[in-house]
Amino acid sequence: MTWRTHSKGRLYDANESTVVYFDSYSGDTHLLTDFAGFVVQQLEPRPLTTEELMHRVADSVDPDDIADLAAALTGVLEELVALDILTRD
Amino acid sequence: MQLLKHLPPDEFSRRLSQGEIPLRIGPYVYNLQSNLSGVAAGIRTLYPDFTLAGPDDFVDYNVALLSRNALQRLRGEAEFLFDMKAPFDAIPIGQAYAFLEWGMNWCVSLHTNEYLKLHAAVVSRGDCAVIMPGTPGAGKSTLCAALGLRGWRILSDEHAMIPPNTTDVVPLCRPVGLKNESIEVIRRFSPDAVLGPVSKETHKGVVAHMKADLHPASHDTKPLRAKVMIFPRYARDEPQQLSPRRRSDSFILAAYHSFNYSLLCETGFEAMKTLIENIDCYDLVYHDLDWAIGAMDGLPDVQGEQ
Repeated sequence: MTWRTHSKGRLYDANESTVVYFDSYSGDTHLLTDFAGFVVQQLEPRPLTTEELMHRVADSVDPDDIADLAAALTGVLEELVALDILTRD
Repeated sequence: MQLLKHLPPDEFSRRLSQGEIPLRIGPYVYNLQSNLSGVAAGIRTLYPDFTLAGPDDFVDYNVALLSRNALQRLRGEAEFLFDMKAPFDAIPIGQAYAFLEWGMNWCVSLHTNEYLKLHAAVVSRGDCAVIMPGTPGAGKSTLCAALGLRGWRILSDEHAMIPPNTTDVVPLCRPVGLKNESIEVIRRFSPDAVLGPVSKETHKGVVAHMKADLHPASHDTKPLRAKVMIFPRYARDEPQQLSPRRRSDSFILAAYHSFNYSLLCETGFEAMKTLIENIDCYDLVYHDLDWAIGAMDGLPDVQGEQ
């Protein structure tokens, strides 16, 4: 499965546990977890498959922070789709 | 420069009835017209120290509060007019003054999208401006009025106007709107509070406005740098506290309190980002005005400012 953003958005990261994301496609502004913000940032240059995303997340996220990385990633992707920030092919 | 209070009463009344009272208010000129004695009294009470613009100056907002015909006079009604068009239904004459002030707010709320506009009071100590967004009833106007009566400068009771990609706030000093219990609270807080006409049974209850240009610099139009954003909340039964809040949450809440954040799209996002990442944000829960003012006086960015 491939994931993509509708458009390149804008992110405000104040080094907190949440980030602000402006979705240029919808005009909506979202308060996302920093993990969700990281996922969106990975997808903005180009679409990625679930496996590619998982590699990037595994390289960047401290395993102590998120116990089940695969489940966390799946959950975040579903939420981002529900928010209409991402689509899947 | 001629101040409104320098107009003889007869000339003021004549010019007001003919729509020839162009007042400089912040960066704008509002031209006022009314044939209602209560509105005239309110303007004389609350705007005496405002400067009259000249006949050749551009008028940004032509506003009027008029009882326009025999039927309206018979019914005791009046209308707010913007460029002689009535955007709202007629209202009882007893509410006319409050409606004039709300109408003047509406002009800025609806226009002037060269700024990021927050629904917020703005006050300052020295060169430090403090933005206080708040939903109606949160206590921002009461606190704003009290701060003004304790030596802070009131830049606005209603609009924080922020040029995009700056942390500046453009002053727009006009009377502070007080509702219901807040009117008596402020009367008791200071005998120096000058209040205008009391409008009863409005959709917000009893409303009165307080003269806001109490500071020597009240009519300066130079923008001030915002260094602090405070989200005040009046809560009678909760512990009082001034506590830091996260920037990302503050961004979302400030956007919620904005008149035009969504309208500005990317410009709005970048403007809010610039603002939020350069100021400190706090929650203020209070029920005692002196305590709240003391807490604000003690903020690091405020201490040392005159």
